[in-house]
Amino acid sequence: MKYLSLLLLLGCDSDTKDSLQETDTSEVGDSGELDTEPEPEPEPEPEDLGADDAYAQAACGLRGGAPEELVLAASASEAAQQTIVADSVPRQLLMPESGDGWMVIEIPDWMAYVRVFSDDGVEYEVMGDDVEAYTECQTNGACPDEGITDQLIGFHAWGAYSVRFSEGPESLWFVAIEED
Amino acid sequence: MWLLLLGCHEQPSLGSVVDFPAHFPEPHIPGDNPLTAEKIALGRYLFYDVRLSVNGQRSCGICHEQAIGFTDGFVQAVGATGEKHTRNTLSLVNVAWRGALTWRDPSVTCLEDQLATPLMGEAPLEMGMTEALLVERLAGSTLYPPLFDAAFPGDPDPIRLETVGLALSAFQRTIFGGDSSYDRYLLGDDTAMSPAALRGMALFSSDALKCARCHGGVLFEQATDEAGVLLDGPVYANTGLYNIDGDGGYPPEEVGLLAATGAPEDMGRFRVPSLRGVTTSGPWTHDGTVLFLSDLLDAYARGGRLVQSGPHPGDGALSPLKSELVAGFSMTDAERDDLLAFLAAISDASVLERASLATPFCVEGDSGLIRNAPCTPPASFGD
Repeated sequence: MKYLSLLLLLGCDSDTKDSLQETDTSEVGDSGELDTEPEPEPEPEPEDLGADDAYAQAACGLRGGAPEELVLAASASEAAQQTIVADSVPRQLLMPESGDGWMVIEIPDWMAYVRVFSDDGVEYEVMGDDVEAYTECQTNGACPDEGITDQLIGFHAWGAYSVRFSEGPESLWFVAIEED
Repeated sequence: MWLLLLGCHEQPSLGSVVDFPAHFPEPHIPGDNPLTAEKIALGRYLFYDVRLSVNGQRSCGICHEQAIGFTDGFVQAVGATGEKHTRNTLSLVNVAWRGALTWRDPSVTCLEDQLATPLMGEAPLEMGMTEALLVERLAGSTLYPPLFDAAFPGDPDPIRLETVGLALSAFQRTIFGGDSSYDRYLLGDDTAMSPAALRGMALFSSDALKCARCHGGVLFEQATDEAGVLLDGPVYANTGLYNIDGDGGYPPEEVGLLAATGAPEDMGRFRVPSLRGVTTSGPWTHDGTVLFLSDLLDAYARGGRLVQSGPHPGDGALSPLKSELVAGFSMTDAERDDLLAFLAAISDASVLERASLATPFCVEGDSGLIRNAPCTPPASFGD
């Protein structure tokens, strides 16, 4: 069962992004040696910008409201203390006093495509062997200055999936929207 | 609460077309709904048909999935329109023997009556059906009229909500499992259970753990006295899962038997479920908040669950309302493993694969078939 299988799926992971960016900005000159001149600040790669579609626009529209506050659990064992569905409801997730935060997201469909929007810099992982990240964690393409990330996650089977938020900000904005 | 007011109102009669486990007690089969092969066949189609939900997103069999013990795998159930409920879905395995059918309402004891709740209930919405729409869909299909005619011979107008309930109940009573390794051991096969399971059984029945005091009988859901004698009636118990206020309080969305009786001492008392199939029916407890079965054993060992984080922290071991039988005990890791081995041994895995219980709409082994996906008839509500 999914909640027992802790095969990790990449979520929004800034370490991964940083690592990729470091690689991308290291350039090799004609001599085969690294150029020493400082490189200008790189422009965001187009692939870092998510789609400007109805879902991204919906997330932008939800940003300014008063989100429902949810207290995350502090361990995988207690993740189900906080259980949500991908219902397009914006939530402010309150992290535990120390350590990672946990919750469960229930997906009552097969081959469900869920857009996850959160604060820039938030790291999360969805646990399960029936999940797949269809995009990297990107900047919301509909409102790129709002500090919202956008990731498309596919859930191959219905079920309850634990989500781990890595230790970081005390609270974070989060909304999951299931695509039609 | 919807009540169909049918079935369960005459003296019980044993079914003659189903070979129930001989070492089980007599199942509850109402005299006005005797089991017939035709009725069971019809009920099987209905059980797995998404036409029974308003938007074609649910069937009984989707939320009570055979492969995982006729449960849904959710923490808390989710209705056809995406509404999350507040309780965990109970298994249907051995439902023919169950006295009280729900987590916290002792008045719901009859399948024929209960079925209207998931079919047509609005709070919470499960399948979202109406009687008129149900009859329209079934009568308008090419599949069902002959099945109803066969199941209810002589009935001039057999496609009704009442007969849907009778057929669904008949099929559900065939969902039973009595051929676990424990059953074979019980029937004389001394080699049927592993040494670990045998050690677990001894622990389960011991005075120290007292598991059998609430999970007694052949279905592991009946109370027993100190001498092991079975007591009548279903067991409702506060097992110390929560203590959110120091007074034994449970989260307000699910307060247990208190919701039915209004009696303060019933706070947090929920129906003790059968343990048969428990290893495949997680998440566990009335609200599904226990994700790992070993955690549940640990909670009993400490005399109540300690919730350290999330919205409802508190120490259930300190609850003044918890059952006196949940007093705690010491348990080594090896003993926990033995208990888990015993719980696996009392589960009849054949239920998860029995062809007669599988959906009639999907061919077994159909390549590319997603587990539990509604494969037919998904789009059009006609045939």
